[in-house]
Amino acid sequence: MNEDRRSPEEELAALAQMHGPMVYATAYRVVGNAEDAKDAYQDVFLKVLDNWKKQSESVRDWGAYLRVMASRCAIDMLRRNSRWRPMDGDFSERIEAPVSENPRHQATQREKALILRQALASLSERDAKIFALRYFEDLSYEEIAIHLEVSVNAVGTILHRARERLRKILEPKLASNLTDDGKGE
Amino acid sequence: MMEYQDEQNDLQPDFQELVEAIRTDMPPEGQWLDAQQEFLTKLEARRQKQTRPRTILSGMIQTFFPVKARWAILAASCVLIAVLILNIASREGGSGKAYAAMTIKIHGARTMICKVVAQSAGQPPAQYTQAYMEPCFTRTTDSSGQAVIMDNSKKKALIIKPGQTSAVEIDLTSMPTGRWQLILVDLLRSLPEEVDEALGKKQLDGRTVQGFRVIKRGDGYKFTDDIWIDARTDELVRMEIVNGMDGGSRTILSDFQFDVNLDKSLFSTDLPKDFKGKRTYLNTETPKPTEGDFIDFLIQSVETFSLDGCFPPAVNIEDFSRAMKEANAKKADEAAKGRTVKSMTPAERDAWYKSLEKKYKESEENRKRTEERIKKVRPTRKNSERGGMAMVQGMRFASTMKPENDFHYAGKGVQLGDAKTPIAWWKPDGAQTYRVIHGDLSIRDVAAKDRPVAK
Repeated sequence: MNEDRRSPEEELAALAQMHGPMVYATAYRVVGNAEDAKDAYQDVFLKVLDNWKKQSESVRDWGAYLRVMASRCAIDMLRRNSRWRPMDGDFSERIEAPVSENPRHQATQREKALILRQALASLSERDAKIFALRYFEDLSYEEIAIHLEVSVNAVGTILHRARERLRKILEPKLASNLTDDGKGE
Repeated sequence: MMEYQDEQNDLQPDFQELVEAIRTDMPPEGQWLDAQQEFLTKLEARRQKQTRPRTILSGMIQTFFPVKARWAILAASCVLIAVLILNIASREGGSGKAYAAMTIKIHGARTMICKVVAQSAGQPPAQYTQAYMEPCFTRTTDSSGQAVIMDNSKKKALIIKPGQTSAVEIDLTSMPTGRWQLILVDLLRSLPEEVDEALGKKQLDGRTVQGFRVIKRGDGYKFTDDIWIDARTDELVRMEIVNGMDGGSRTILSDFQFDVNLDKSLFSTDLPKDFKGKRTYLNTETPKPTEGDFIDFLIQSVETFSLDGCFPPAVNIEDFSRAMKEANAKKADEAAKGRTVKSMTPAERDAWYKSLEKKYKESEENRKRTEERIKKVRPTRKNSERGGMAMVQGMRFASTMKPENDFHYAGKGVQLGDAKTPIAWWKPDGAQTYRVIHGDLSIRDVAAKDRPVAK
């Protein structure tokens, strides 16, 4: 049997093959650009590799685990990027060009997404992570509680707090920026 | 619009629109494959790193020379010193009670501060101070006040430039796992229980100190550590490390303080308040060296080290280093005889390059190619780090040749510009013909039967 056992690198390559699209998409939704999504993708799998011995025995649902990890790494990246000046160009240059049958609507959607991402970056890491898992990844309170090892009540409390905080940040922007959402174009 | 089933959800419509904008913001199809490919490459690089035997020099070069940014100099210098000296060989001999007491104290230390001065021939001494806190934090400060904070657990470093209120965060996740060889306290902790020689007592900075010598030998390296301990208190006073392989460069550790209270905030890798930050990462993946790198190396080695315009006698790192040392010694001899050999001024260097271009034009067949080569190399002199990188890559081109490549180097004593004499030849992977470089740096493909004969 031992002869058939794969190395951690081989196991991880197989995991990346199977769950790679989901991990990338999860990270992309949070960070909103290919460059950071790629970095988050690397972070996820390299962290798994660093802790392979422990995780290979304890993780039962790799899909769910990697989704949470992707969200966590992407939030981390989003928060750091909000504080750190990008090395090349400004943030707006890193928003990829919209491709759509209705370019104006698509551009508005991207602007909305950017506004929420920027606001999300101002939350604490835990609050942002739970918000992203709940509303971007559609995880239930119970699922979030299990993966983050907190109580269901705590998830509810944190989400409530996060929404309040976001609302305060977003209200002025919603009033000024989104008067024309491109509908009907 | 997305309907959230959870009764606690009270997102307002506009807010929901924002969430929906993110939920529907999907990456272009197949884009994840780039990330996948990059990850698999990193995975393979890690796997190779774990299985490949690393000499001190190759480890040093592979890990640090790819760094291109200036901020890396200080970090690399500390690391190199530590990498070079953290090698222990078996030894004989007895040790004194003072030495044993000193090593025990160091092993139990929670914090340490020490001053480091690195001296090598012809170079101004590099000086810095390193503070260490258990379990794995270091803060290394140079004389300008620039600090490098490294957190082994987070695999993260922060370079702080106080005068500019700016900082650079470095992602070090590409560094090998495990404890990094840049923590000076580890160097002290790696001292053997037994010393090779007792050096007796002497006066040092007003204290009576007792000396012990430890010699570290291995394949391609030899270091002599002289450890001086206060004869009364058993405190470590000074440690002098002499590299026996590079002409006697010397590193002195002194001003030790153990178990002093250090504020944890000193070791924070978070961006200080009101500082502007940049992010980058340490690239430990060395690009594959090319034929062009090798030619750049040949040109730069003639310019930098040669006294007679000849190519270096060897292209492997050890012999090349020895040749550098001999060239420096020869320069010193000339200076002693009153015939000072000065480095070229920028104007002289420019004239030298122009004379090279003239020489190249004599070989019409390769004129265009060699002129391009000169143009490519010349700007690298404006950036010593990039120039250093090219030197290392050039040597790696030779050192990574496989036996079946039948690589030969015969540049010793050949003048740069000599179009008739072959200086290097090899058979590229999968090729039927040999590549032959001549002294004018022209390159020709020749049949195996016509390849030069090694003398």
